[in-house]
Parts: sequence; structure tokens; C-alpha cells
Amino acid sequence: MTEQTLPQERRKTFPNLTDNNHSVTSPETDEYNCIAWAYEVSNKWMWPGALDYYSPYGLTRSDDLAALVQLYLGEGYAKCEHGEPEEGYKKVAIYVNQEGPQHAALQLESGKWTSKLGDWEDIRHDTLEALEGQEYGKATIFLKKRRA
Amino acid sequence: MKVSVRGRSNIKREFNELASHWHDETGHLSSPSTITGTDTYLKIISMGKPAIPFILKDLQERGGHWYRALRILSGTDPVPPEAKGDVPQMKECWLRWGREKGYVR
Repeated sequence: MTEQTLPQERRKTFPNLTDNNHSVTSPETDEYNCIAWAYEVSNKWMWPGALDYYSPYGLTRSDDLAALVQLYLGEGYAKCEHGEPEEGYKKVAIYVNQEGPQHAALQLESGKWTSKLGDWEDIRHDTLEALEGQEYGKATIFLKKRRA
Repeated sequence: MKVSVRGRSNIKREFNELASHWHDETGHLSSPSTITGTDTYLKIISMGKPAIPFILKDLQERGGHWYRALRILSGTDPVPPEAKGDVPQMKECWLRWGREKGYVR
């Protein structure tokens, strides 16, 4: 069965996406975002300290990036050096551009990644570079946690 | 503040153009500050209270992160803390508020 890819109009937002390096895994919905998806939650829009969104542990928004890192640290993740697969671990990668953190991706057991694109679809993407660019910036912060 | 029929028509046209552009430019984003900090979003807020019924209609029909604009324009927040981030509940809180205030039929 041919895997569905992101519509061409949306792929313009992510110039590194190709026909072969990603596939759509869930339809679009505004009920959760990438931060929630990487946190393995799919029924809340999450952003630490944001007035309108869910933030566990009473995280405050003194610094967006620090708060996002703390979010995953609170779930048993620890900072690590890179996003390469490590046996027995899953990873979260946080993308940062000049405006600050923009996106988080969760590593699958295969070593590939899963991402919720804002209100758009979830996709599986082969590499972190597939979503790098002007909109999300670069995968810069990495965290890992032992798989259950 | 009463708005004339022609004024309402102009507001509707301006809002629809801005809202479409805003949805296009932010649909793939997750950061609330980025989503609601665009020039387009700020232009919508600068339309003032007359934009509220159009924002609620767009929220109802297309969804989107209108909550900051609604809080600023209305001066209130009908979403209880326990519902923050629960998007269906947040929408329903604002639409219920809109019905109570006569903005939504």
C-alpha cells in the first residue's frame, strides 16, 4: 500500500521533505500539538506556562526553552548529546529557531521520528533534518529515556 | 458600539482576509507566542470588539488559537483552569460565552 505523504501545498513549509522520507500517520486536528505528542499525550494542547494551554507541574514561563526541557525532564528524560538511536532508549528532539523553541519530535523504536505538525497531520519522518528549516529551525536539544 | 451594515460588511471582509492568511501562516506551528504574535494576528486584535463575532464564527467553523485575541478583546476568560489545553472544552466555553453575549446565535 502506498504511504500517504503531506499535501504538496503543505510540503512547501518543509523544503527537506521528499516523497520518500516521510508519511502521514494521523489526520489533522487542533486537539493536540507537537509538545503533547512528544510527551505521548494526544488530547491536550501543551505549552509550559502559556496562559491558554496545559502545563503540568505548574511550570512557569520564565524561559520557553528551559521550561520545555523541564517538561520532559519531569517525565524521566535526561539531556543527551544527539538524536542518534541508542539501544533501549527513546529520545525527544526540540527544534529551535531565532524566535525560540518551535517543535518537538519523538523517536520511534525504529530510530525514525514522529511529529505532530501544529494543527496539521502527524507524520513519521526518517530524519530530524527532514523538518529542519526556517519554520522549525534546527533540532538542537536532545533528551533520552529508557524504553519501558 | 453599534456598527453600520456597511461597516460590518467591511469588517467581515477584512477579518476573513486576515484570518485566512493567519491560518495559512500558522497552521503548522505549536508555540503560542509565535502563533499569536504574527502581524496578521495583531492586526485582527487591532480591529477591536467588532471583530469578536467573526472570531467566534471562525473558531466554530475552522478552529484555531483565537483564545488570546478573545481574552484581550473581551476582557474576560470563560475557560476554567482545569480546561486549559482541552481544545473542545475551550471552544465550547467561548462559544457559550458568545451565545450569552449575543455574539453567536
